[in-house]
Amino acid sequence: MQTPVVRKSNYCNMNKYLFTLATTFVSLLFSVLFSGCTKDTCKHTHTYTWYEPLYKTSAEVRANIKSNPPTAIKAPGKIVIIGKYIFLNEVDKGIHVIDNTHPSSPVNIAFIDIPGNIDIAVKGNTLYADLYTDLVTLDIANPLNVTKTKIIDGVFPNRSYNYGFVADGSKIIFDWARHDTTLTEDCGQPLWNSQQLWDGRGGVLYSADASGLKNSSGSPAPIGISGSMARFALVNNYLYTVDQSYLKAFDITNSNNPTFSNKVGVDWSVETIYPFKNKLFVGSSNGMFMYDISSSPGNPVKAGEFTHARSCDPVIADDTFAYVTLHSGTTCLGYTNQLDIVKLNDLSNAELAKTYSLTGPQGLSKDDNLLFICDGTDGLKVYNAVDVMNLQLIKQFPGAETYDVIANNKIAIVVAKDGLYQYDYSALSNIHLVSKIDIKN
Amino acid sequence: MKIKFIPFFLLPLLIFFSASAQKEKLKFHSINSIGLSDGQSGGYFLCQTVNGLSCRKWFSGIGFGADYYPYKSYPLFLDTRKYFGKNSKGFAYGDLGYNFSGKNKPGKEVYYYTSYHFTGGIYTDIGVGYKMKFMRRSSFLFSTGYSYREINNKVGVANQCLVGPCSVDYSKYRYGNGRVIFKAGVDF
Repeated sequence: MQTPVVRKSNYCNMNKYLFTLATTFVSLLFSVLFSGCTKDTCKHTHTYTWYEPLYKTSAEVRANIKSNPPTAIKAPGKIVIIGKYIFLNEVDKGIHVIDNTHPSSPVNIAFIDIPGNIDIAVKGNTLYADLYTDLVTLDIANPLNVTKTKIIDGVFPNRSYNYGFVADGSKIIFDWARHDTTLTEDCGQPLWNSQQLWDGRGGVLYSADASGLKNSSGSPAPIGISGSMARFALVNNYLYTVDQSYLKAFDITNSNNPTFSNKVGVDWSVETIYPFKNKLFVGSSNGMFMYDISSSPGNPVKAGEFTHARSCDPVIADDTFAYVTLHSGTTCLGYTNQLDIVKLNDLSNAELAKTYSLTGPQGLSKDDNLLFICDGTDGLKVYNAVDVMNLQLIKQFPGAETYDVIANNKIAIVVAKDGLYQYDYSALSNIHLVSKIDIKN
Repeated sequence: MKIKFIPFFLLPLLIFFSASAQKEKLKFHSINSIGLSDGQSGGYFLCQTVNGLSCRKWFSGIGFGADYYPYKSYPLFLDTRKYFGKNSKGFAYGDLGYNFSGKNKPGKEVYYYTSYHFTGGIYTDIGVGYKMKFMRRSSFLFSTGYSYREINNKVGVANQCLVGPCSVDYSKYRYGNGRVIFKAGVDF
């Protein structure tokens, strides 16, 4: 009777053994079969826009530099306010003329076609603007009938395009035809094939004179105040411009006939210029450079510099301090988002006084003891700056992605991604929005 | 979700209703495993827990794990397995779910970026295994399988500008990882 039991036990053990063997075999087979599928893939899909240049002859472009019918605001740049008018740069296209008689309801009334325009400045009845590499002088005595008075060719030769694009030098690009393209490739393959325009100039200008456009009293013509993002600045009888590397001075004693005076090498990544009294504060990706124009305004002399980590850095100044915002998030690199306050007691040895951490600060403006900062997606911030070592946030207007501000005469004009805002700060306890011009995207 | 995956999700429901209809007893199981995922990027640790109900030779449950091959991710998936063989010691399993991304940084394949945002993708795992009882109601489980998962990364490169908010170019990186999976676990 025992034999069958032994046999049954052996039989069970054999089954168990075979089953384990079979499972192991299947597992190994599984591994081998799928080892061919152990592949890592990486697909890179890039949707990009490239622009095809549309050309006009120089004669056609120059004939159209006048007050034309108004157009929608799409890409606002710098602003000049003079009298009841706002001159608002449309990046690379021209200048909007806006009737701001009633700040609560501004009206877009005309457009001056200036292809390639980014920078503007105003002295009295004269507006200075760039047309790609040229400097255009306009008579704006009647904003509805603007006329050009002079064009100086080739004064901004460093303007360049992305990806090695070279424009047809015999014509002028007046617009770009947009093309959207999507490419999918294995990671590591080059996808770039665009001809995007690259130019890093921009900012806000604001006229200090709100009394009127015409200046027939014989007093000195009103001069615009540069915003922190500006690359044109006016001081007395000189127009100062910066490009990627140079600071240039133009004598505008005769407003309608600017003449080139001199140029000074600054740095290799100059971004902004801000005038204060007899000083020019030039912001570059590497630091802030200070120039003295008291002795020879036509030939600025370097008075000092303040270097910082590589970052974009609009700058403004007062008698005692310079205010420098550093922001990241662009190809000017850097990972810093802060406000640096720099002591100006000794320009040759400018020292950092205090740093405030911010979100993504860009343009800034100061009026008396109020400091206005465009802090990217955090919107506009208004600080009490009586004690710069202890700035107190008074008010914040979140919601708009702001990038430059000019505060003057109790009105703060803010350029944001979705519109042009005007805030009344005549009462600190009631800083409020007066109007907004929407941007058509 | 693609229509072809619907049967996979219907299967656990089928098991449940089938068991209810036949008044068979459902048993709760918690399967906790550690393992190795091995593929082109090398070997990476993984761990997961699957909790569900069994009925006869079927088991279905919900699993969650940590999978660092090569980008960190946390798959949440439905696990279905069928036991077979003598004493139901062999089993085949299939997992399908969503692979949530962990906190990752772009790898070398992204040359330059100013922003990035990882998101998840599909998670699958199929394989076979062997069960060894070690207590009255517990078992060791060993399995091998093939897993394919995806993870995505939206990368932004901001253009330089001073006028207005700088425009940002976005592109997408879709990573697909096919690996062999080895797991050892305990079924309570």
